Formats: sequence, structure tokens, C-alpha cells
Amino acid sequence: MLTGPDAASNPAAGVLERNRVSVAGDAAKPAIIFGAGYGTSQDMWRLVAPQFTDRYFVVLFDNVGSGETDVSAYDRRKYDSLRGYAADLLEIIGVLDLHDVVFVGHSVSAMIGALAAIAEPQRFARLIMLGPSPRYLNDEGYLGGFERSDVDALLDAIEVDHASWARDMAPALMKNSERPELAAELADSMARSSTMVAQHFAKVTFLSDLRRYLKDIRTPTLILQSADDLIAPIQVGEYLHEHISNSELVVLNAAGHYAHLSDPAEIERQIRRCL
Amino acid sequence: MTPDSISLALFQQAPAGLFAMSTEGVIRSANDTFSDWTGYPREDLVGRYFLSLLSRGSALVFETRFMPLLQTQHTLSEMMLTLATRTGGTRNVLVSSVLDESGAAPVVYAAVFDAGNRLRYERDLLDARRTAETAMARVRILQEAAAGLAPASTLAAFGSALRVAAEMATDAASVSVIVAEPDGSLELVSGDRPLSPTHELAGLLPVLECLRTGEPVLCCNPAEIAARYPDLAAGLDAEGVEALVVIPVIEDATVGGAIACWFQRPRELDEDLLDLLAALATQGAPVLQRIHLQRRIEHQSLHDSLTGLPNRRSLQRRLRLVLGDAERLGHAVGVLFLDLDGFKAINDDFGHEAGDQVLQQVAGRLLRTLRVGDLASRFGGDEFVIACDGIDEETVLDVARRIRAAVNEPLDGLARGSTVSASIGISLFTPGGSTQTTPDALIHLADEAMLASKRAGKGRDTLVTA
Repeated sequence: MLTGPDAASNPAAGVLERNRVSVAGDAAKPAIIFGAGYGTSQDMWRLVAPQFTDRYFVVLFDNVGSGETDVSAYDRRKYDSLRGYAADLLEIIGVLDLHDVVFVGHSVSAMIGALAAIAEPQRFARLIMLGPSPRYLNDEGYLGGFERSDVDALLDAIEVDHASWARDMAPALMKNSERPELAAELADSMARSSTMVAQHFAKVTFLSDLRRYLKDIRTPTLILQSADDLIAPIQVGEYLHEHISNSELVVLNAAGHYAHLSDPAEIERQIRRCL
Repeated sequence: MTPDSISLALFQQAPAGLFAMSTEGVIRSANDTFSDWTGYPREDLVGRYFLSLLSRGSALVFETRFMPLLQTQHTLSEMMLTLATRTGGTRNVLVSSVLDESGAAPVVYAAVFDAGNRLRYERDLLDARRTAETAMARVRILQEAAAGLAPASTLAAFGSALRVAAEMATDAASVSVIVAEPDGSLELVSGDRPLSPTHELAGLLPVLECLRTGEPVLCCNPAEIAARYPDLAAGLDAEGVEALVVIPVIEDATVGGAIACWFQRPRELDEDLLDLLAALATQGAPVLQRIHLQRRIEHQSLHDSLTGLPNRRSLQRRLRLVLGDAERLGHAVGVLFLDLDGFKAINDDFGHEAGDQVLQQVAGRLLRTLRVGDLASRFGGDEFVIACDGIDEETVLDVARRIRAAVNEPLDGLARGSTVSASIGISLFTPGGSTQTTPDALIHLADEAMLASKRAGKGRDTLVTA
């Protein structure tokens, strides 16, 4: 990872730092990028991504506001749409000067990758979507799986978490602090901003509707859909397959929403199959 | 009871639900209490997804927060979830869990506590905190706007204060502040706007509609935009606009402007947010009125109220400017002093109103006759002074000839059919020589030249060089 004094003065380093980009393998080899789903970080790919470093240049990153990214880089106006995240992804690809990218996106990152591929199709060779959904809410003639009240329950839960989050964080901050009462305050304010970011990202993820853009995806797309994924029911996978012209749908057995953790070997096999 | 049977009884009958599951969320073992609370026999629970025992909202929490956090932290305390029981009821619980990765296959151990009352209490706290935070955010945004608006003396400063506050309030990808000028023209005073390459500001129909009706315009998603503004839908779509809201700024019962927010995802704007935007507009209205008033006063101080022409002050200001440029650029400057011949007679014969009409008509004819960039002013009474920049002797004489011809055309209005003529004096300053000049000196020279024209028989011009 690129960090240190260069990050501020060098815009390219700034992009890589902002998204906590980490790379492995030979930069001259074809690139494969892994994007993490809502609420998760690049760490979720730990059982899959390292398998590809032999023959690929492997790129991992965190969406701003997730993982270990700097909360102060979270611009609410930019990230009020998944387009903000797609713009970041394209910046990463640009800074690393990657072409013919294979983009593997889990959950919301699958759609972020799709928006990026629509904007700059020449950069992408393939999209691999794991547990994607273009719209999480049910709509007339469309089963997304959720109602608005379900999303509100998630927003509430994030908010209630805030207290215990701060409680868990405070001791670590206090350890090296000369004034523990300030550490507690700091923990609370850090928890507060994380909470607000998590809530905002939840709204943007679960209240967006990208169905209308699916027809614009020209990149060959593989949809990996768990038969028992609660977040993205099987009908959503079928809907995507039907509306993305050059797509293949593979239904995975009982792997849940985190198939890259529960069945990494199968995910690796599926990715290799289409490389 | 043997120690073993006590342990077993403790597991089965503990006043908390206990269960173990795989990292995919499949239940491997559960105690009687958990079985009671969910309504499923224990043999039905084993092999079942824990997810399937949760309300949809809690399932979303479980998948997007519980599991990812457990994966990174290995331990989670008191996550609030709602169980959906076999009989169709619900039970609010707190779930604490640990991830044990010591064995061959990782296992999650979970303890479930009944939290019916506690959850209600938490819910109340949550609502109270949300209400307080919404109110605080509202105050902060209104204060921010007030701080920006108070010193605003230009439309740009006014627009910028409202735009920044509206951005804070809505997180909109872009916000435009538009002002309707008294003459009906529109001006974008702050922010970006969509469709700028293809549509005039007046073609931005949601804004136009808001300005015309004085009512907010709200489209929450692309379908609503397409239904209401079919001609703009494709263009807005191409720019990623998926929702919009336009709020009028109403000053003294007239719509003086609008705040337009453009969103890049479907947005349901709740009452609180619409109220806040309306409050911003209300805060902005008197400031817009003040700026318009200042502009009017400034315009009045520089213009003649009868003819609308610049007044003597504007003339002097302009001459100072062009004389400065003349030295620098080597341009000659001409001043034409015009006095109407026969004006007093019209005043006497037809009354002062007729005289006023003559002055207005002459002003219109001057504007029509002059070159672009020349400035015609009403100097006083029936005297007009024209400042011409970048001119030479031949051209200034041509301008004077055209003016005399235009003024001499038959009059309209109360003095219809009568005519007046113009006696003109011209002073021409060519830079580069040893002499300097001032606006007053040039005007004075032209005035004297005009008197010479009068003496020589009126309706003619006299040129002197400064």
C-alpha cells in the first residue's frame, strides 16, 4: 500500500491511499480487481484473491467509508449515489493504468463495477458479480426481497450499535492516552461519524434502483447467485441475467450471501472458468 | 443429579436461548429455551438457517452487519434482532456471539436474551435522539445560511450562501440557485445546473414551473421526472439526474428565485427536509429583496428617471474611464454636447407632458443612432451629452450628422407632427500630445462649441479639438 508523505502531494498516491488499494503479483500480468460488499472490507476476499497472484495482477480496495478508510474522506454529496463509488473505481484503474480488467464485485460492489463499466467499457474485459442486486426493494412486478420498513430496521440497528461500538473502542484509545476522559469522548465522536457514514451508505445501497442501466452493460458478465442468498433472492439473479445482454447466470448451492467465505474454492473455480 | 446432568440442564433450561451455528449461519445445536422462544422443536432448528428465524429487517441486519462484524472482530455483544416465531409472532432479543476458529470448522456460539422491554426503551431513546439531532442539524444549517446571507451584497454571495446550506441539508450532487430578474430574465447565480449545453435556463422546466407557480416542484424518481417533464427526461437521465426538488424564494408575494437540488439516486424527501429547504428560502427572500433594492438605488443614482438614460454622474464616470484608456491605448475620445432647438416652444404650446415625451423620444433616437459602446446621457433640461471612445474626426462628424437627422424627424405623441432640431458641439481629444484633459474640460469645450452652433443658426455642429 502506498502511504506516507507522498500521499498528499501526489494525486495518484492520494487515490490509492483514499481507497486503501493493495496490490499483489506482477503488474505486467492481466489485472483482476476485487470489490467488497456493503458493510465489509477487502479482507472478505482473503480466501479467494491470493489464489490468483500466480497468473494475475491482483488489486484489492475498500470503498470510501468502509473498512479502514479515512472517514474524513467521506464526501456525503459525492457518495449520495453509487456513481461516486464508480468514479473512484475508475480513478484507481486509471492511476494503475489497467486495461482489460476483470472486475469481481460482491453485493453492492457488483453494481458499482457495472456503473464503471458502462462509463468506460474499454477498461473492462469481464464483470463477475457475486450476490448482486440492481434494486433491493420490492416494486410492482419486481421481487427485490425487501420493503422500506426492513431498510429502516437496518438503519435503526446501525444507530443502536453506536453505543456499544463506542464502548468497545474507548479502551483501545484510552490505553495510550494521558487523559482517558478525552479518549472516551473521542471514541464517541468516532463512533458517531462511523454510524452516520454506515447509515448513509446503507441508504444509498438499499434505496438505489439501477435496473434501468442494466441494458447499457456491454461487458460480458458472469452472475454468481447463491440459491439461498437472503439479500439477493434467486429471482434477482434471474432478472439480472434477463436484462444484461451478454450474461451468464450460475446458481451456487447453499452458499449464502458470503459465498467467497463459505465456499471459496467454488468461487475461485467459477472465476477461473471464465478468465 | 450428577454434575453432567446439571450441566445439561443448565444448557437446556438457562434463562437465555443458546445455539451454535456454522459461519454460513446454519444452526448446529440449540437449547430448549431457544426452541421455546422460536416455537420450533429442537430437531427442526438443527439444519435450519438462523436467518430464517428473523424478521426481514433483522435478516438484513444479520447479513450486512452481524456476520461481517463477527468475521472481523470475532466477538459481538448485544446486537438487537427480532425473531419471527413459528406461529407468526415476533420476539425482540439481544444476541451476543463469539466466533470460534480453533476447531477444524469454525463455529459461532450465540446467546439470546429476551429484550422486549429493553428494546422498547432503546427505541424511545433512539427516537428522542433522532429528533434532537434533526433539530440540531436544522439549527446548524440555518445558522450557516444566516452567516452567509447577512453580509451578502451581491447575487453571487446570496446564491452561494443558499447553495452551501442546501447542499448541507440534502447531500444533493448539485444545487443551483436561480434568480428571476425584475425584467423576467433568469440568472444562475450559484452552482451548476443540468442540461446547460442543450437548454437555456428558461428551458429548465421544473425551475420555470416553480418560478411561475410559486409552489415547490418535487420528483422523487426517474419515472416521476419522465411523467412530468417528458421532453427533458432523456437529457436529465444522461446526466444521471434521478430525482429533483425546486423550492421558490418568495419576496413580497413575487417569486424572486428558486433553489433547485438535483439528485443522482431516487430520493424520498421527507417533510422535515422540505420544511428546512422552505426555511432556507424564507431566510433568503429578504436578502434577495435587499440586493434588488440596492441595485435599484444604484441604478437610480446613475440614471435619469424620465428618459432612463445614464445621468451626468454616469457620464463623468465613463469619461474618466475612457480617458484613462485613451492614454494607454492611443484612442481618441469625442464628446458631443447636444441642445434641442425649438423645445421651449413645444413646452409652451403643448404643455410639460408633451415636452417630457419629446425628451423620451429623443433619448430613444439617440440610442438607435449611436455606435455600440457609445454612451448617451441626459445632462439636464433639453441637453444631452454623448461620449464616444476610439473615434476620429471624420467618424465623430458622421455620428453628429446622423444624430441631427434622427432628432429632426417629425415627433409623435402630444406634439405629433412638430419637429425639433439639434445644435451640437463636439470636443475631440487625441492623446499623445503634451496636453492632458479632464472629463469636465471636455464637456465644457463641447458646451462652448454647441453655443457656437446655436449662434451660427442652430441645427448644425461645431468641432473643436482639445
